[in-house]
Amino acid sequence: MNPEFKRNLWLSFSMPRLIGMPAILALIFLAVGMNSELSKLGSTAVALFMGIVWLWGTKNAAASIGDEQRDHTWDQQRMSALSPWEMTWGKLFGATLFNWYGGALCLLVLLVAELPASPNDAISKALALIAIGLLLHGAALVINLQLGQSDLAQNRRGSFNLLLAIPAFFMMPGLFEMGDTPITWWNTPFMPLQFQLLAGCFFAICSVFAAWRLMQNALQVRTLPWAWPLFACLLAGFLAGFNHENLPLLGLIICSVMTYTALFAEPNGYTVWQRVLTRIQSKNWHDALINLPLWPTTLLLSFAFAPLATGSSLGEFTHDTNAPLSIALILLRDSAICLFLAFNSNSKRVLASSLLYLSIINGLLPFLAHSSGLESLASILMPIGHTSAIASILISAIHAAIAVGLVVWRWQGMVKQKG
Amino acid sequence: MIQISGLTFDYPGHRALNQLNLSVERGSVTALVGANGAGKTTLMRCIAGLETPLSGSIAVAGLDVQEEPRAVHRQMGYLSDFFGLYQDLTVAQCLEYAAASQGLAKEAIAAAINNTAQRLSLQDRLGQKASSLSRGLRQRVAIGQAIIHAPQVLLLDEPASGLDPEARNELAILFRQLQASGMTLLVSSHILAELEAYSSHMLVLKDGKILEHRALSTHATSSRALQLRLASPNPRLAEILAAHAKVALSKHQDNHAEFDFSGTSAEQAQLLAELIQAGLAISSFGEQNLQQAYLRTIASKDTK
Repeated sequence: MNPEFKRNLWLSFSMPRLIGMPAILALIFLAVGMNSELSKLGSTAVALFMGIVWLWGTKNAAASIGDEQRDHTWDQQRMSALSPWEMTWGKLFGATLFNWYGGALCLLVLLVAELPASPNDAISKALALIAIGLLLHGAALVINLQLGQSDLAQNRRGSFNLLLAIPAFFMMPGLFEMGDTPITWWNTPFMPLQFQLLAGCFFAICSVFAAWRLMQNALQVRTLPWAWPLFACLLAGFLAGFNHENLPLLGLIICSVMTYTALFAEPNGYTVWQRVLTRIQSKNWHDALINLPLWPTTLLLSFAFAPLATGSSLGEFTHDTNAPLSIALILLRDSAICLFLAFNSNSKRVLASSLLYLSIINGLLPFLAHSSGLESLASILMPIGHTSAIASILISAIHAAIAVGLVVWRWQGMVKQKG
Repeated sequence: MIQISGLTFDYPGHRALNQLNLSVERGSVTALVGANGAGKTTLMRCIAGLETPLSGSIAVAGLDVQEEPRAVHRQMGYLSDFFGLYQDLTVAQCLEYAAASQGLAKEAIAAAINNTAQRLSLQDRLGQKASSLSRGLRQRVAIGQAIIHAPQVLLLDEPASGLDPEARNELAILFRQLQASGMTLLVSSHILAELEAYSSHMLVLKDGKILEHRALSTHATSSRALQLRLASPNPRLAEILAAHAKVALSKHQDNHAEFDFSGTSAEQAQLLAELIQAGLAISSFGEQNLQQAYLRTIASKDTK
């Protein structure tokens, strides 16, 4: 048996818990059955499943990494001979096994209550619940593995797990109120429940895959950075299924969001880039790519999507830009600003400073100019919305060039300081 | 057993290891010493494959740590200075988890647990939860986790901190046993007297650089650091010592001297006899301990 799975089994299963879970669930179902219609049993089972597997299980999945780091057992795990996949599934299913035990009992009640009336819907609903549970657990591992690499203090990391509760709550009502209107995706009609199941499975696979990739990094198994931009393409493909004429623009937007996410989530300091440049200087391209942070991959991809997106429209978004290339250039500028801040070895709050400066540059200053009636200045400060596409691109390019220049200047200063 | 070449590691604003080149012999016990911030823990973490260096390479048992970290981990045990235990697991479960996660075959695990528990005098504690153990016992369990898979290389960062003198002595005995079984140990500690009890080599780090790496050998023909102390001061002490061909004086006062002696044990006995004959009132004569050797290394490099 997978040692990590077995260890979790030792920790989470005891005779009182083994008996307690079905006993408590039975009492709840009995109370619901006695006080309302039997048909309510199915929805009660779904709600209990969400609480036990989606919320509590996600908390346990997050703790399977966070607790190791807090209790100083993480190094022992990193030093083990377990493969990244063994460690991933050992944690993914081990830490949440007790939740799946309770969840399985809830699904049993759901199937018993709803199978006679609508067998297909009952099975689809049960499978969708499982898929979304897996998706959330995988995402919890991803967040905590990523936070483990960051400079964020241990006690602040927990709050990031709350982010997972947002999609969980967002998805909850959808399962109760499934309409009959088919969802058209890439010109193929799907019933909502069927679509939710397929989408849930797709994203569950993505999240488990991402957890495995990050576990590889945590266990010092070196990987090339292809999965992150591939996921950007897959996500663009998925969303473009609803509006497939705008695939490039969607790709550009997704790449922008993912670039910002990686910029804020990854260590990005001088030492990281020194490792990359040392390997480039020794023409060790393979190792340079292995040490490369993820954000440059989606930044580059955004420059690939930008020319393709020119001329496409996405509803209201058309009013905001005439030149998608300016979005990529502003993304480059913002990345350079984050690097500029991260290269300051005295700065202890790189993430907070980056967020603050980007908010001022992208939001506050253009808003102030706009509010003061200085539209030309507002367009210079935020050129994405400029009426002329050429001006938009030119001004964005100047922004990017200045920011890149600042990075080069600071880098040279750091090199001199070290030398 | 451990080959390090051009190892450099940077923390933001600080170079922790600077172009380290090192070769650790198979079956040796190397005392890794240096002031706080000298780079001892970083060096151990790099060897363990827990940190990625800026440049340089590390090979353990012929395997590149950066290329094959998981294979290296099978050959290696590591006790961190801030180790943790699974509080809610029993000692037996902690050891079983360590054995299984290090890839020991299922049928070998029970024997490995018994063997390790016996080595560390933990047989009576196997059913006890880790949370209920004293600091010393927790330390023993952590060491047990690091050695249960009989690694070829064992890295120990401050293994004796928090242990009482009796437990430290037991630890020294254990390390000698492990060395005798062919294991290579790299042990970092601030308690030099403790390292002396089992170390065969000393590696001194300062500001991320190797100041000295040498054998603390007691072989009959090798050079050794000696010291002598006089009951009453004698201004001719340095002159008498310097006249001897196999003595290289390093530090002296009227009543105390430290020097390297390159003769055999018999010649050392002869030297002592000659010094007494020369009228020196010797109250103590013998090899320098690790602490003195370390301080001498630091002082001599500082002078340079």
